[in-house]
Amino acid sequence: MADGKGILLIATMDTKGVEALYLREKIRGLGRKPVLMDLSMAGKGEAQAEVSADEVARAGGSSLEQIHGSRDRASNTEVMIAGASSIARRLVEEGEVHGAVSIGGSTGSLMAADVMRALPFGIPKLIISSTAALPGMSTRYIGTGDITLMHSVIEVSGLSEVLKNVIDRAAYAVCGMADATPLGKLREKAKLIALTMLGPCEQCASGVRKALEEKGLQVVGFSAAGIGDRAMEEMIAQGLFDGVVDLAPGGVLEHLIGGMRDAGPHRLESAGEIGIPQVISTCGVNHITPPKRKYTEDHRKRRKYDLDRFRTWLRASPEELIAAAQAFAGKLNRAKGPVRLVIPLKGWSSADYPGSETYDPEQDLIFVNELKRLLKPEIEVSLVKANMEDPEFARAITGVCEGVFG
Amino acid sequence: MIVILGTLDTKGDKIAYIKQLLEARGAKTLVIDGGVLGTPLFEADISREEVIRSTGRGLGEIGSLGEEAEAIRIMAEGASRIVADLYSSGELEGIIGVGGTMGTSLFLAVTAVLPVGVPKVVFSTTAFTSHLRPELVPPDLIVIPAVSDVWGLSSLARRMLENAAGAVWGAARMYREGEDLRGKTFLGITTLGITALRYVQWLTPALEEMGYQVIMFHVGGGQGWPFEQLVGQGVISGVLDLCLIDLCPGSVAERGFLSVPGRLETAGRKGIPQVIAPGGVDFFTWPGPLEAMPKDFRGRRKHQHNELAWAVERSLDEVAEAAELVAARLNKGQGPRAIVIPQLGFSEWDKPGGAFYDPERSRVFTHALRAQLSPEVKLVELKAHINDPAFAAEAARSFSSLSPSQRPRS
Repeated sequence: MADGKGILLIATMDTKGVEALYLREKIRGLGRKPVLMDLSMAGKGEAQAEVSADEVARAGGSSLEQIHGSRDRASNTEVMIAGASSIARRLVEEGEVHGAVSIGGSTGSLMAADVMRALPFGIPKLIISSTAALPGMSTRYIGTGDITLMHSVIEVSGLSEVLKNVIDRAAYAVCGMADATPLGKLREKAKLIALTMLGPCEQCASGVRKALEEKGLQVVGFSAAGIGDRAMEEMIAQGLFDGVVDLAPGGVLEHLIGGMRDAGPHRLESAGEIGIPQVISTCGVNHITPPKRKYTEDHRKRRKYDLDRFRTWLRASPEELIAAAQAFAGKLNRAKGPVRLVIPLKGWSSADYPGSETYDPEQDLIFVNELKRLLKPEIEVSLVKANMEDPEFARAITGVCEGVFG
Repeated sequence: MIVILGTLDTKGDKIAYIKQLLEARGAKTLVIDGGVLGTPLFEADISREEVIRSTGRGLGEIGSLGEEAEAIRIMAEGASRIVADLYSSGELEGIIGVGGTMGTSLFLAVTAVLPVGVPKVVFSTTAFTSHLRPELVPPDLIVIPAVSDVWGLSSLARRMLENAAGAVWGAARMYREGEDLRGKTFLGITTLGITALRYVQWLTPALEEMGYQVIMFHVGGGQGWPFEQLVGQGVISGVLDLCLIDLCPGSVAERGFLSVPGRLETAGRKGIPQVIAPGGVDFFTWPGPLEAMPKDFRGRRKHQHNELAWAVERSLDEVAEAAELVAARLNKGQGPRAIVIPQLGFSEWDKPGGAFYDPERSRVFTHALRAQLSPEVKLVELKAHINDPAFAAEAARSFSSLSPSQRPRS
């Protein structure tokens, strides 16, 4: 397996130098070419790294000297991450590295995670971290990236036999991953379609998926609960998909009101930016999910639907529906590719059926009318006299998909 | 041999793909089916029936189980036995799990029987959610997140699975070819980063000179869990447990502050030499942003420890409560135990001029401790600060006096 594939090694040489050099030797011993990139901000720019801290700082628009002279830790960190990301991306594009690994404590791991997130999906990315077990920490490290996390057992400090054992395993693992992933063959002939869904539109999602697969498309599902759909946006931006069926874009309004399904400020934007076709519906757009401990008086008075023991959907107010429509229109009007909206007139999810507390198709029209008023004319809005979960609605979505996905 | 563990009814296609990938690279695989719901996609090497039988139960018993949690418990019990046998016989070179909520729980329960060093890789849709509770995570786990919930085997799903298979394949090769930790023992020291606690720089060389190998756990970063797990596995044969910030009264722990239930207890149960000190007992750790901290704590003296954590001062009542917890837990211990109290302060911030300085603190701690501590536990009061070289020297001396004949050399 000694094919000389490059592995990017990210570390801060001022604090984790001994451990990083040991890891580098291990990678070299496995027949790979390690490219050690130093992210230290306090060190003297140790000469041992293939990419020195000064080069990283310069690629980020500063220099190590400037960083030493500044006390603004946050902006120094940003400079180093930006510089490291651009160098790392270039190394990948030039075929110099086929995988990335980092070793560090919490600060180093957070920086490395940001750099790795800048690399394309599928390239092996492994973080060895001593603080991986801290609740919430791994969520912060990884965010929505396809980053593998290895718990380091003990503090990354000194080469005890235990830490050597951990580093050895990491070296073998990342080389094993790099060997398994022939780059550039990720895309196949069959078009890849991203599809968002939630429990309350499961029937629709499943019907659409089957129909599209029968047409020879590959469908990749994302849970639209705030994390999966955020990941989807990033993967779309990387050019991994040929089209999107966005059944559950509720994260847009949730971002505005701080709900649990908040999918960040860029939800519903990536497909438009890179110009792939998108078919959009409205599951969950008429509901919000503020954290229960943050319920206001107003929230407590709202009509609600309990999804399960932990999750409750509250009916969005008319003002919120208008705000959602404005946000949708703002994002979709900028889209470079085709956009189609398909909206059910008899309830937007299995939470909205005749007789349920939150069923209010008339109020749903507030969103529809405001949206139609603001959307640019080439964006078609189809209204379907059905509930989201009725088979005929899935058929309507599929029909529109056939038109735009070709 | 690499074990592939998962539910063949819901994740059969992914498990089959990992099996193909591993076998294409020359690995021997063994598929264990932990599924209980639908029909398995293909025939496992160890079927679900065999898994159930290995627990001594009949098939009928699980067929009627409506309760998913109970089904997982039984499957985990059976699969753990099978995997433990494979480990004892020397056949096991690594294990990979594929799972959603159920498969991940199953994997964590099964890998709990495997010592540190045996490759453990999980490809999980719940990788970074609260399902991966830190007390259940093996200290050397490799976690690969399934970014989408992947229906079927799209080219994206395959790429993620190729990475997962590559990781376990590589780690298993290292396990075969490389150094391993079997039979070796170490001294475990708990501490924080150098800005808060500094004894390690003197203590480690002193202990190494005495012939010990030392490993360190940064309990501020959640390493109290792996520390207790490694003591439980027998990898750690003596402890200098000198930082107790994650020893938290229940009422504070339930508000979300860093807390590792069971701290101090494993070493006592194993009967290994134990030197304790109240390092960091001047504060709690809040692992999150300030806005999320409970309001009634926000008015206290505090400072941002790093980007991820805040340190918040403990009240004197809470310090006394910590002392009571220490006493109760040490009293239950079976091995030689000592506690060293640095009277001049418990962390770098607990010094005149420091963010948490309080000259009353060590007196309050000692008073509450004395009232309940068993006479079996040696109590040393030292007129020094925890970051003075004298404290490190006393900790080393106390440890050697507890274990004069034991030299856990590897």
